[in-house]
Amino acid sequence: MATHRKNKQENEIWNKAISGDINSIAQLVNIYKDFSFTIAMSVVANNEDAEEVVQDSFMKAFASLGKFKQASKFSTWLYRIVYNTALTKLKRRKSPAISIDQQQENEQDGTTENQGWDLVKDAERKKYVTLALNKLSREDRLVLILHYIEEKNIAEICEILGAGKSAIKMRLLRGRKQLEMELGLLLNHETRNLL
Amino acid sequence: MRNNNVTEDQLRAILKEDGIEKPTEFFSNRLIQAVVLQQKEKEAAAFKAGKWIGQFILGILLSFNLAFLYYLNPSPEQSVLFISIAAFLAGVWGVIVVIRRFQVSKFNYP
Repeated sequence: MATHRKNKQENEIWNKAISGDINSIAQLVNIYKDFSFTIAMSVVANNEDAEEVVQDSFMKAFASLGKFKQASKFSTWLYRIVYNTALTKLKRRKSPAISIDQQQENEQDGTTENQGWDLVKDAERKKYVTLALNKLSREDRLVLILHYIEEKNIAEICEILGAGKSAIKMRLLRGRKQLEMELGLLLNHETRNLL
Repeated sequence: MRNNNVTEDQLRAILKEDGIEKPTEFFSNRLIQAVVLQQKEKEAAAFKAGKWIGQFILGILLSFNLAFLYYLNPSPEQSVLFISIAAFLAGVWGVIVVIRRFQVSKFNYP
């Protein structure tokens, strides 16, 4: 119900934006920027590079705003551009930055098993979820966040990542199981109390 | 672990709340400004093309009017003709004023 309302609102802003309303265009940028940044960070694992990727992708995508009839079609296309731009950025990078996996390993060193529920609050909780997500492979992580956060269906995820349906379904299942396990381990079996 | 499974809805809620990486406010503002500026430039370019077409159409209309006046062979006694020309000029001026006002309000962004 909330998703339906969100989509309706998004489509209203969309209609105004394609007719050239500058305020609606700014609102659209606001709606898509966070998730686009999440995708870029999942691939390049570096703030500066992710910002560059997002800016390049938005300039490219918003230049062709009027070619799309639906907001959801546009967001799928935008996220595909973000993903491909991030992959290109990653290939071009000469000296690889510390990967997300390495980062989380370093951070995990300071996380003792005795750290319990007391530490899992606000920022701490986010840190743990990020750590659990970073344990997954890049593709599994992207499939999970596209499905659960952005509520994209399998077909849309295939379009964004350029992969087959069966591969996406497998990644979703595997990623979900692994994330569940990682969250359980990191949060000292307190996953249920997260909410 | 088996007893500690997170449900689909719980996982969705966890990820929605804590799985998003947010860019800095400075970058967000810069991104909005860049996209908005690009859209304004696009609109301005589109309007430029429209301006040329408009000028061409107005040129043709004015030529027709001049040709029409030439064939009518106007003299100062024909007051109806002079009033018509004055009304035409006032109309064109009014249209230009309206277009300019619309253009300013459309590109107005805080």
